[in-house]
Amino acid sequence: MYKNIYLKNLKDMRNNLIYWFVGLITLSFYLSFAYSSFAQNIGAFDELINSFPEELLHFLGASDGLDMSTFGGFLNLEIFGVIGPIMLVVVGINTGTNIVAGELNNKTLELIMSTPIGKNNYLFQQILVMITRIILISLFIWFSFNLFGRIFNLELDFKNFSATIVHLSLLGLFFGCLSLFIGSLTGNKSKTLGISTTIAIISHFINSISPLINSVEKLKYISIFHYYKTSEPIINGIDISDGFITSALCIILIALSFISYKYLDLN
Amino acid sequence: MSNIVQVSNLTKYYGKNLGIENVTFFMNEGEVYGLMGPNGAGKTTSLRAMLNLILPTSGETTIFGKHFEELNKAELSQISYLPGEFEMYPNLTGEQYLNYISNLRSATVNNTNILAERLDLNLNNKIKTLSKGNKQKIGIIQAFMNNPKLAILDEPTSGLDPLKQQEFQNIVQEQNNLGCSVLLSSHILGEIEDLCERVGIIKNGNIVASEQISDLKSKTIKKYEITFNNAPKTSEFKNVKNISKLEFQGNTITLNIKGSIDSLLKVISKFTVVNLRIIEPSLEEIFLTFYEE
Repeated sequence: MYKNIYLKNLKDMRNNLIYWFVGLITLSFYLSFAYSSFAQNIGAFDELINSFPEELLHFLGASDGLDMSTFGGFLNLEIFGVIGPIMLVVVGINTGTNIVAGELNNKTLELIMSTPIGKNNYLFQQILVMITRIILISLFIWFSFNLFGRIFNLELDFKNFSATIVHLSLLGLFFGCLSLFIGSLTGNKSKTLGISTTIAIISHFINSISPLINSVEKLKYISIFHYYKTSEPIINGIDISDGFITSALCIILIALSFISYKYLDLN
Repeated sequence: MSNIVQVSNLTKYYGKNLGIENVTFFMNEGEVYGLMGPNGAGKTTSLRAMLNLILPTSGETTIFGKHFEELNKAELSQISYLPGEFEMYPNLTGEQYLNYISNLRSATVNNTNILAERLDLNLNNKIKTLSKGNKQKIGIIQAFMNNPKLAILDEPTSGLDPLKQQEFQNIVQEQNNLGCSVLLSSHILGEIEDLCERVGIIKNGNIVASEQISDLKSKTIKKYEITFNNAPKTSEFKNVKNISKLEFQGNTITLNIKGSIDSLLKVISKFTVVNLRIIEPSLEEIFLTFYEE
């Protein structure tokens, strides 16, 4: 397992992934059980939710209102509205920050970079680690809700649920790439975490508020959260253009990371 | 003997702050070269700039006769480095970490266990449980485990007890006998004096001397202790050139002279000299001379 950067880091995150898996299994069991318990009375609950002000629904990540009559609609509120994006954004920022800024902060990078591995190869393998981690955690979410959905006989549109997971993965990947770029530019862990988190919070607020105010409505396009969920993949399936824009931004950030890392002093 | 390392006019500025300026020195193949200087003089910056870990503002480094950027993987794997601030992954064991580094170097030789035994280190313990000294031992092991052609060591004995410092010196000498050239940066002058043939003295980011220790000694201030039958008066020494610290103790005088002693010999030849002792300066005294100037 210590043959190269990729395998070493994969082994390093083994325990962390086990905790994620156990946590997500527990969460999905609890939510599936809870939904199955009140599914019979969902009509009244749906009415209550839909009486919420539009602003609140936007904050909850439900721009087209909420359909609590399906398990997918329930998950759209409970998981894909706030908790899911927070989880994947945190994973992305954490993993992206550690690639350069974290290793520099821990003073472990200097010796690694004195070996023949090379800066580009190092970054390439670490990006693969980041992608693997984000995909695995997204797969855990996908797997656990599919599993308990079946166990509790809850109907879940396989295609649209998978599409939402893809959108969620891309959101996490975007923040991973953003943190990687900031880390490669500054070499400073606390700056990287601070800037990335601030961007994530501001981006979320822009996406939540700008559609409600006509004069700043177009600002939503600068928020990455717009490309994550405005198309409502849980209802409409994968949105190719949103997916393409997020992927393209990730590629641009990765390219910029390679350039900035090349010129970064490993002090 | 060819140069294994040639550092030419290496300069590094951090914004407007000077790191190092025009650092120039060379290392012969098979040599142990010492880079001396107090903390903050620019030793670590010089080593990092040599290895392209920080990008020099100007200047260049050639290793094995090639610019650093032109070295291929096989050549890079022949270079080992021990950073001054050496840290590892706390959740790995010593053995796992050393395997990892060895794999990144694509090394074919691995002397890990022999070196660990000599340094009395258990490699099965997790790094987070190790003391500073034991972590430093892992740093030394990784520097020599793959039989490198060039080892660059920044403050290698930091945290080691005197016994292990001696063992470190033995390892360096043995590796040197096997053909490893060693660049040793340290502020422990005794260590440099014991191991190195030539030294570079770095002061405020500049190399102020780079030569054989013996040449350095011959050029610097020497202490003379002369015992006369009847001590001459102080005024007799007023024409002695480059004299400093003239002290009388009975019929014995001690004085320091830098460079030629011709004028001193002319003066003392007029008196009956019972004994003349020349006291070679230690490397520490030489070092201090450069820092007092």
